[in-house]
Amino acid sequence: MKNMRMVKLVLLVLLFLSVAGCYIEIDPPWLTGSVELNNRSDATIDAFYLARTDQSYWGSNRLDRLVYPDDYVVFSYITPNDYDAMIRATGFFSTYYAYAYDLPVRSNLTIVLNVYNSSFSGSMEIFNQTETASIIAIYVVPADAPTWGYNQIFQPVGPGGRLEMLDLDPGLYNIRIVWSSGPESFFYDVDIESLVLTTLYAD
Amino acid sequence: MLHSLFHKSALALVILFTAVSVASAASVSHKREVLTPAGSQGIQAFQAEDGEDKPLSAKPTRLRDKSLTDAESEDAAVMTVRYKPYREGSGEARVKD
Repeated sequence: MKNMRMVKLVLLVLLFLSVAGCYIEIDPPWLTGSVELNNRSDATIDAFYLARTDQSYWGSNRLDRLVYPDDYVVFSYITPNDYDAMIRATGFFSTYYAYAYDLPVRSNLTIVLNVYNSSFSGSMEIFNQTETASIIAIYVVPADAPTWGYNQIFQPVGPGGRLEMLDLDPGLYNIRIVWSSGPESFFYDVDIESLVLTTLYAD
Repeated sequence: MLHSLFHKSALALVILFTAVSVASAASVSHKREVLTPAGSQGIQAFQAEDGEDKPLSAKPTRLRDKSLTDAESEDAAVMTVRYKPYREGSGEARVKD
């Protein structure tokens, strides 16, 4: 009889704790941080990625709506850690990106990210204006780089074709184009600006 | 007899309710990792008012090494690529003229 009462008591305590657990958050708001994203640019932000600094992929887009100029969005309940952030703005001509690294998200603190026009990367498009030759390699490096770096394309750009290259840091670039036949083409000190699609015609 | 039956039924109900509420609590704590965009609903009361101001930049403090799947254009005449940032000592070593 005494054992039965003890079992009932334990069950009642368990019941109370489990019901309370439904209402009391294990990670209450005061133990999590927030990130506020202020759009002070002219672009409309359509994606926001937030990944732990030690994570090797960006994961999914955290926005469920567009963030227009002068608008803002707050991301709450973020587990304290160091994070990297990336945003995307899809404009009429191209798509642009902006980054912030090593954001120290801490309990009960809001990190404010301000996005300006100058925050964004720029884009470049190259038209193949020849009638017979294909572009088989394109090298794009900062103007002060000593070598040509990576080939930026994974397949040839045929006659009449167009290449759009996204996510270049603003600045001056040198460009080398290798053709399937004929001499190489060079462009020097091409100015890439934030939120601008720069066009090159190659032949 | 009736008294004992009542006790047993009550005990069974308590056990069932405990199991359900434990499962419910577990699912709530699982969902807590999701980031919630609050949108224009305003900053919530628990947030500190003096947050750290950190402007975003197109110039990363280190190379962009996180992966993101890029959609490739369906039009064969148009190719879209993401710029592979220059790294000294990588890629073609040919010196620029």
